[in-house]
Amino acid sequence: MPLATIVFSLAAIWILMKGTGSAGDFFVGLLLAALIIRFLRKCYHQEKSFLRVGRIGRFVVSFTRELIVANIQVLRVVLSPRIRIRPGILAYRTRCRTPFGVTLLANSITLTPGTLSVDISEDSKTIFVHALDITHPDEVREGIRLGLEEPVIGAVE
Amino acid sequence: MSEYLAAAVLLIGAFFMLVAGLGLIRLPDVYSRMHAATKATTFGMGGILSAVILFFQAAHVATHAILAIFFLFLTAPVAAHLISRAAYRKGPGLAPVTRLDEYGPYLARERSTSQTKNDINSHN
Repeated sequence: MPLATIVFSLAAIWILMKGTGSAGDFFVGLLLAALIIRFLRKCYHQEKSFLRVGRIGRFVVSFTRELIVANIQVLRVVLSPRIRIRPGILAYRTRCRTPFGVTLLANSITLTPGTLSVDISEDSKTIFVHALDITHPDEVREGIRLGLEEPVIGAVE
Repeated sequence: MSEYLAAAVLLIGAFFMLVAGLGLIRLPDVYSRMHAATKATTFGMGGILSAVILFFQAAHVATHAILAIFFLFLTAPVAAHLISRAAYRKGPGLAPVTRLDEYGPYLARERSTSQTKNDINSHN
């Protein structure tokens, strides 16, 4: 993300938190955001354009769909008279390359059907995923790849 | 009218919180329980906060609620990740029903290659 985007979104969050929207408040927000960025500058690196609204929208849509499916699935497991799960931890090789991409993918995995990120390998290339049903590990992998990884890469990498 | 809608959404949210609680009791190990504790609670809180938005219908309430949902979605997976990671490294293992574990071998390799990195604390 370009620094300007970060500064403006931080200022926007500031306005939302205050709940009032005067120009003075926004100015104060901009100042604070600039101050924060000044100290955290090393954490951000400049990169490509941020005009990816369409792809980000697609990510949000597929994420929301997965979230709803996830909850229905947890609901079914928890409320069934006998708990029938075949859990396990599998290693998932990710094609995300940026730290932000990997973070977003790992977080999305946790919030979506049957899967939970347990750890990320030292070289950030493998995500260890706990799944409630691991009868077919490759199906789980395919689900992550198509439902989450592709949209994440499209949106932020 | 919107009061009924708010009530319905509130009930749905509360119901998912109940499911999360039941999941914590009924599922067999830390990792399966985290599934219930992250997914159902974020959904439940989302429902409850949406009901707040629908009931009060005021901009400043809505913005606070939306921010709360946003940060919940951001922090819940991180917490689940840290808890399950710490649990695997220090605490009780996987439930007997577990079918597959590709994490254990990785962890063993990591520990044998680097003596200093086998503690959670030294990772930070």
